[in-house]
Amino acid sequence: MGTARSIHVGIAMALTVTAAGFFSGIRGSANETPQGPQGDPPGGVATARSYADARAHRYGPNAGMYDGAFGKLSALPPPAPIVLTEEARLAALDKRAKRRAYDGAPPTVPHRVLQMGPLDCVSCHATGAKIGGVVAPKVSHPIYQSCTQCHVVMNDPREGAPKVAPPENTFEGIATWGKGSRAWKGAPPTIPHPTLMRPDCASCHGVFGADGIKTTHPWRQSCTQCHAANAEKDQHPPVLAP
Amino acid sequence: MERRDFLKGSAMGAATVAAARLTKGKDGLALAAPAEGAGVTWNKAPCRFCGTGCHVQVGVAGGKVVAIQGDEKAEVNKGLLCVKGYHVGLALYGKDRLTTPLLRKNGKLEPITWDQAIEIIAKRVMANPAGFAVYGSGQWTIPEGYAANKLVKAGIANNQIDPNARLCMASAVTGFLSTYGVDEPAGCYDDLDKADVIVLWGNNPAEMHPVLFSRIVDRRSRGESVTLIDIGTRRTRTSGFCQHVLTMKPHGDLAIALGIMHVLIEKGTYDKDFVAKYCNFRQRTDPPTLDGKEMSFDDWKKALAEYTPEKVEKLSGVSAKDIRMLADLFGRRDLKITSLWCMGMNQHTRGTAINDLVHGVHLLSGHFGKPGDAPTSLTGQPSACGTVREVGTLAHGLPGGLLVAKEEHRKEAEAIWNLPAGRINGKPGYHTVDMWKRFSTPKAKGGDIDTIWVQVTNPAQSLPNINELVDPSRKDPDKFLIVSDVYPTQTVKMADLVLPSALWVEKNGMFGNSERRTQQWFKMVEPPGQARDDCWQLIAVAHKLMELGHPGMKDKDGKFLFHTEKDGKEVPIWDYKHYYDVNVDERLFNEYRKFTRFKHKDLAPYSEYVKARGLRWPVVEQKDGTWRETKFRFAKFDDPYVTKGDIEFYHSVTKDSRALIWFHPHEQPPEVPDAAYPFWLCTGRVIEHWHTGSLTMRIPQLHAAMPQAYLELHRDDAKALGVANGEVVIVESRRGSCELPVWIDGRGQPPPGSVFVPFFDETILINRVTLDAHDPLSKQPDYKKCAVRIRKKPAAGKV
Repeated sequence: MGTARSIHVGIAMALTVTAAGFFSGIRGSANETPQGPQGDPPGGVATARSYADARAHRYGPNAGMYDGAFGKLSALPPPAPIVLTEEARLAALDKRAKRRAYDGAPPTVPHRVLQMGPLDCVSCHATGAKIGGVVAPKVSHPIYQSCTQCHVVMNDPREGAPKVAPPENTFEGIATWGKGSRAWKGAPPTIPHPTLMRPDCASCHGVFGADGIKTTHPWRQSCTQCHAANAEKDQHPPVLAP
Repeated sequence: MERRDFLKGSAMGAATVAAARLTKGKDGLALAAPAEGAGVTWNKAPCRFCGTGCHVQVGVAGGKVVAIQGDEKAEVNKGLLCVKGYHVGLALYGKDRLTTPLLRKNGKLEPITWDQAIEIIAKRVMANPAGFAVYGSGQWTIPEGYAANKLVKAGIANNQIDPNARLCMASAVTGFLSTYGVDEPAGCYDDLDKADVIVLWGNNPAEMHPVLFSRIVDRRSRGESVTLIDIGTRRTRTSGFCQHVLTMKPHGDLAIALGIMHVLIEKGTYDKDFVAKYCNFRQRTDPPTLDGKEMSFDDWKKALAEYTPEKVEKLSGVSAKDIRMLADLFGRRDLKITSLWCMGMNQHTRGTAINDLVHGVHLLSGHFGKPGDAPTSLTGQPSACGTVREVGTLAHGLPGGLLVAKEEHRKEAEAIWNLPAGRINGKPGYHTVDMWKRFSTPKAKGGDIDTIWVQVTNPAQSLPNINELVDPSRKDPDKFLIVSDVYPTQTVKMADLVLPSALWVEKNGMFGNSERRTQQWFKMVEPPGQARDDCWQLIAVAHKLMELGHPGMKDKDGKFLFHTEKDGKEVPIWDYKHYYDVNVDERLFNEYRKFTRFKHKDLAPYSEYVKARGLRWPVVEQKDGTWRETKFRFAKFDDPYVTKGDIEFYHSVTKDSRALIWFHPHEQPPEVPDAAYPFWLCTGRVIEHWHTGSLTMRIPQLHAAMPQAYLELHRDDAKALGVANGEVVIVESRRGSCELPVWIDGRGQPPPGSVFVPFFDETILINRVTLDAHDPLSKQPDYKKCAVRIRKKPAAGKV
């Protein structure tokens, strides 16, 4: 499995970077302004083209945006492969646990939020984002309208309010459901946790996910094709004949 | 049905077996190292908090609650919860749980035994039965409330029982009774999925009923269009989702409803057919009664004539244009309109009147009796409907909507309870404010209540004007306060005797939510220390009273009021060791069911609720032996008790199957701001905390998000007062004061001249400031408006 996996990982990363480079190359620099019969005459008025031409020939300022894209990408150094370590997994789970009462509780919000108004959250969390070391995870569930119904801030929402000692509470929530089981060595693991309110695996396991729980194969979109959920944890217990 | 019987035969049991198999991998690895959390068992329970009535799945491992999920099978919440619901399991584990009975000795609460505690209560009753009162709660489970009601009405027979729900939905009850002749909404939450327009009358569901609110606004995510109209006295989180935000003057709702009716009549856009077939008109009498006085449609129209949109604008502060906009919406037959309200209309010195008028708007415009067309009140407590309104734990009530004042009702109750004729007292007890006033008044001055047993509520924080209603009793040696609770609340700290109670899934229980849905759960974990079920406490006191010779604790055959048999032998359920030998909830519920037929509020047998995620009454048995719930009352297409016409109000006050459309004039509230007290004060809640915060303030995540109460103040007022965000002010009324920090442009935004304070914080008791003036019929106090003044707290050393 080891070799097979690293090959997969290698391909995955190459493709990811390819895609990223592809999009980052959308805006070409001035000296890449396309010339020749496909480009617009510099400073001149563009000649109207027939729709048939438009299909065959790119034009406009981005006409050359694909030119050499793959070549440029292949010149980049290969990305480091994703390596899953137990230490990283535990660190990721520990960080998760600090933001929720138990695994499955809605995470609290580590930053200030507007106290009024709907849908402010989705500007970052609808698709997820990573800026420097800060990750705005993609929401794990369909977008609902009233985010603050479930997600409250971690600190007093009032600017400059004095700190009040937290209440003592002996609740010990389930911090993690552990690892999924594998039918044999190398089999895809089952999903160890309930999936209610987290049907979108990419929220935690996608490209912005923490090291240790991040998928090695982000290009695969249908996670439950290989990773089975637990029917009982998902409130669909199998009913056996009495 | 016992829990283990249920498990044996149910899918849950099968699932547990299956899950045990699933955890074993083929390679045995999973067996050798079972996944963490594999030992979690799940079971259903309604949430402990508000009246929405969401079902949660409770995950238990090692005898403790370890996780919560929204219950996907629950029709109410469909798998979703709010932040309180997701954290409800933590409510059990605050470090300062009460675990032993405590008696005040030389000013200090000291541990005593349960036997001593039960005997002390029984002896207080024996010493002065007439002066003993029970103050209960809409958080009582249905069997708890039923046991308390039976103890007081059938046993002690003084009718001195009233609940905290008096403070929360009594005006909704009187509104339903005076309009339809029978309590509780005709519609249900399904209306929220169908309505084109939802009118929120002084209601902030984004914070108070978040799951219902999401049920509405998430329709927009699916591409549906729903128009939300917010009528309120301040901007709230809800306002941000509304197409129309109509900011009214406090008390302006009366004028707004009258203005809508005026325009419907003026333009002739009211539903003539509906009114002709199903409505009568009514005016109030002096003193007011629920039945009022007949009025012709013409006289009713004449009374409305003065409420032109222009006049209503002056009275309410809402523009004439917006009044016409509302009336034009109600005037359209092609739209479905649902009204929602909660404390804004209920905590109102004209609470019955505004409830009547909003029902009237819907009846007049025919927006009634079709899915999506309904006037629906919401409740704040998980069983305000189930335990208070249906079980009748009110000073004037008997189970099933019967009344102590009516001889035929007493006879019915005596028959069901097997009591000697005449046992039940025909004189209603004291309503909440009266009960506490008498408790806080010396005996010599007419304070004839000397002992109050409080269960599942925190009146020393939640009653209005606690300076007068609670504090004096604590200095009077004749007055004895008993409190059953789970944490050292404000009330517990003032008590003479404290009983530690089991909480939520530490006991069996049943709740009834805002849409007539009765719900059931089983005990899942043990209560801490010596904490015991409230229901057991009531039964133990009843039995001790019987031992002490109280004549009321036996039925006419000489059997104990709570006599329980198993296999032909009496089970001593008053002895806690034997309390769970039978399912006491099931026994009490199946007895209580007999009462529910009189007003067509039929409940199914207990075992049906074990299988369901709640059922909406009337639940009627079908020919094939199954039980069918009713979503839409009084409507032929769904309500089996409708026998004629499309709509039939079969408990009509006028006995002609018609509902009543009332006229109530606009009136000023009893206290309005003046030069000395220039601000309006409104109190209420926030999403993080539930009521007095005794549970939610002990949950770290909720506490962190909202650790302290505050005063919402408009920027202009803050400027005039010279206070900045976070600075402490003194808010003061003619009754009392408290100090708290201001929050400008915070969670809610009151207009200039108005302030808002949430009441969850026991360190900042805003109910030292509020008014105990109440509605003449419902006796519900008005926490939403009184006059206060605000000044910056002087720096230390200065006065």
